[in-house]
Amino acid sequence: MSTAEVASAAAEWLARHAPAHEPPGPPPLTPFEPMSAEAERDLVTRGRRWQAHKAAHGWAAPSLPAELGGRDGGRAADVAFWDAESRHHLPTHLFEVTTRMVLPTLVHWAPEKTADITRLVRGEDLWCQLFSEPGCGSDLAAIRTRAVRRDDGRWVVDGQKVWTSWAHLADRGYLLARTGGGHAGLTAFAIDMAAPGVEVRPIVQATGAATFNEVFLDGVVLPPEAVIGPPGAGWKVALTTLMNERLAVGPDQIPFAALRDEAGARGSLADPDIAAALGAVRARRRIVEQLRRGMLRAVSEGADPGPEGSVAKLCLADGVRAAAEAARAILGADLGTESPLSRFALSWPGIKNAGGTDEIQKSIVADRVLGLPRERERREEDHRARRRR
Amino acid sequence: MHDGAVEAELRREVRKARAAGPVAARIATGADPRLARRWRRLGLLHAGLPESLGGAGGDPALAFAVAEECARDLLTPCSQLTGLWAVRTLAALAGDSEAARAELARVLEGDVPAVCWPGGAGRGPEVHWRSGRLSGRLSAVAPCSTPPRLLLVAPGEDNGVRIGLVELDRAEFDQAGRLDVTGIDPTRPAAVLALSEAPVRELGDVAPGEARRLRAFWLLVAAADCLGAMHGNLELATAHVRAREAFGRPIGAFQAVRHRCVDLYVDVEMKRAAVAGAGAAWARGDEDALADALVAVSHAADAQVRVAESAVLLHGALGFAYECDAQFYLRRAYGVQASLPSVRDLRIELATA
Repeated sequence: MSTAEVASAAAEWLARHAPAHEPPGPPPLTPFEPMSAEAERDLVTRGRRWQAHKAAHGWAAPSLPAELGGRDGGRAADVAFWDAESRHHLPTHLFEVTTRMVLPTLVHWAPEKTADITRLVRGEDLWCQLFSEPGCGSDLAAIRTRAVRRDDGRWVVDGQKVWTSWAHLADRGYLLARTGGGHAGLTAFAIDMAAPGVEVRPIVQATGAATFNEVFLDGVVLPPEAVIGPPGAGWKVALTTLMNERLAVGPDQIPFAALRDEAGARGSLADPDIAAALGAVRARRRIVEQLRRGMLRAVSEGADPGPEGSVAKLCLADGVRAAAEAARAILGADLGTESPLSRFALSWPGIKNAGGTDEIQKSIVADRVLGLPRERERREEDHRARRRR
Repeated sequence: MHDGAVEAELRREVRKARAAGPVAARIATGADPRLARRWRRLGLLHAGLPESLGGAGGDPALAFAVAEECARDLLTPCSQLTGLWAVRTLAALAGDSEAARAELARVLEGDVPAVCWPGGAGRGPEVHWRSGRLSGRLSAVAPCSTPPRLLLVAPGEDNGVRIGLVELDRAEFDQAGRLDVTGIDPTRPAAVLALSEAPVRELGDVAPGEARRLRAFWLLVAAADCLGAMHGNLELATAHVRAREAFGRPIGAFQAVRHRCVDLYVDVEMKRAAVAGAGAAWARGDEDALADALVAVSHAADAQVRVAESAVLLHGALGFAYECDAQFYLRRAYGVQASLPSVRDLRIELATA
């Protein structure tokens, strides 16, 4: 099945099956929209149900082999399905880390974990990703959470993670921990979020939402088979996840139609400043779509998602910022009153940081696309010079 | 419909046809008629044009690849660019007008007119065109022919357009207030003409639907032209930061410089994605191809200036020297931005389209 065929089959299937799974109310303008605990639980239940429904019809992950519930469609088929899915209002948002980042990582590095993969695909497990720590975010290889192997082969984990989206709702955690020195001293694990020694505390964001958390790991015991990929391969495992994260960069976070509708309802499209700002937002959203299409073409020809994704991420993050600026202009003095649009106006820094800051993306492009001389050499030289003194 | 091998071959031919050396030196030696003949022999204006109209056939979007590739070298004769506009404009009339078919053949032979579309794909006030006479102040991208032959697109009935040809004889040309023929960008002549009751030969009308499609084509050629120059400019700047050393290392190893280069690269890649997407939509005949063209060109006009200004700064003081190619790219960017509809107007149109 070609990617285009997957896309049209998906659109046709979604048109029949999506309406029954639509959550109540309008779709949120930002992933950082505040929700009551009850609404959040409801969304998890709906998300599980939708995921299970997709799995029952072979649409949970089109890239997977048929025996795992997929269609042997390749990664481009997954993305084609997400795009078709995003045209409906569906409870997928909480499951994006699970299905778009954890799943491809498990399939690549731990295909033997068929029980885990099957539970994930059917919506039985919601995952969170335990990477960032209080002492390191961009500098991921500097993590300090330790996993020590005991004589009986089990691992004991101690440390602290932070900015962990949906940790308070998740069944499983995908953990990166230190098992030795340097890049080769990192190992990836699967943990149960309900295990003794795992404590989750919410972090309230600027928008008032609490989608992410601190996660404390205090003597958490993991079985030997909790390792994802070989011990010491954690850095490569994490890179697989991060590359897939860039593939998940979609234009939906630039809500042009919602902004234009709001401006239309307020009669402010006649204001040339507002109209011009909205035009710039529309252009940005369209260019993200087109960048993504180029990425998909490369992936469907067999390439791994590469550093071009960094360009799309940079373009998206700045587009969300521009959309937030347009939202402020549309609201005018009403910005002072709490509303979905006023919260949207505050949400853009979340997108800038999630999945790698602008600065990290730029360094990736400078190294891996433009092939500019590396900064690292300079750091090492300075280091050697200090030692000589 | 798209044929990657044909496009790659076209691009190779354009690269081979280029003269080498810095821009300043090539301007100083003037236009070489042998070079112009070589360009004409490439037959770039035929690419993507149906064979029934005298073209070479193939994907209609090849025209955008030609515009892009020609612009990378600032010294490709501007008849290549204006020729693309003229050919498609005349092709839109060729079904009904013998005069348009004759003019199309003339352009394909290499005798390319200056072109302008005030308010549609270019900047400027509307012109007054009544009873075969034209008045107004026109700015046009122009090959270096004087007195000029000018192909004009102007608003027609019900959102259609009408197309005319202004051919001034020597006396009329001397009478017209000729304000400028070079402008800020010596690599691309631009004519600004103040005409009063100049004779216009009306070639025909284009209906609203086809007029939208024609305008999308004009805007997309302009965006592809920006893309080509931006790409050339990026290559110039990154080559410089790799070679130039300061503090004992290439300046391209400093984060501030690296990140500035990436900003250029992101603008170029955004532009490339926008032009490719819009070009494919236009070639397919999509309804919203004009919106995609507005996306591409509204980003292009600003991005090209951003890239050119940044590239000048990456060259340090050298970037301000006449001999440095970077300042020619800056001239190009300013010139193009001034000739296109304002980015603000394009965005307003896009928001409400």
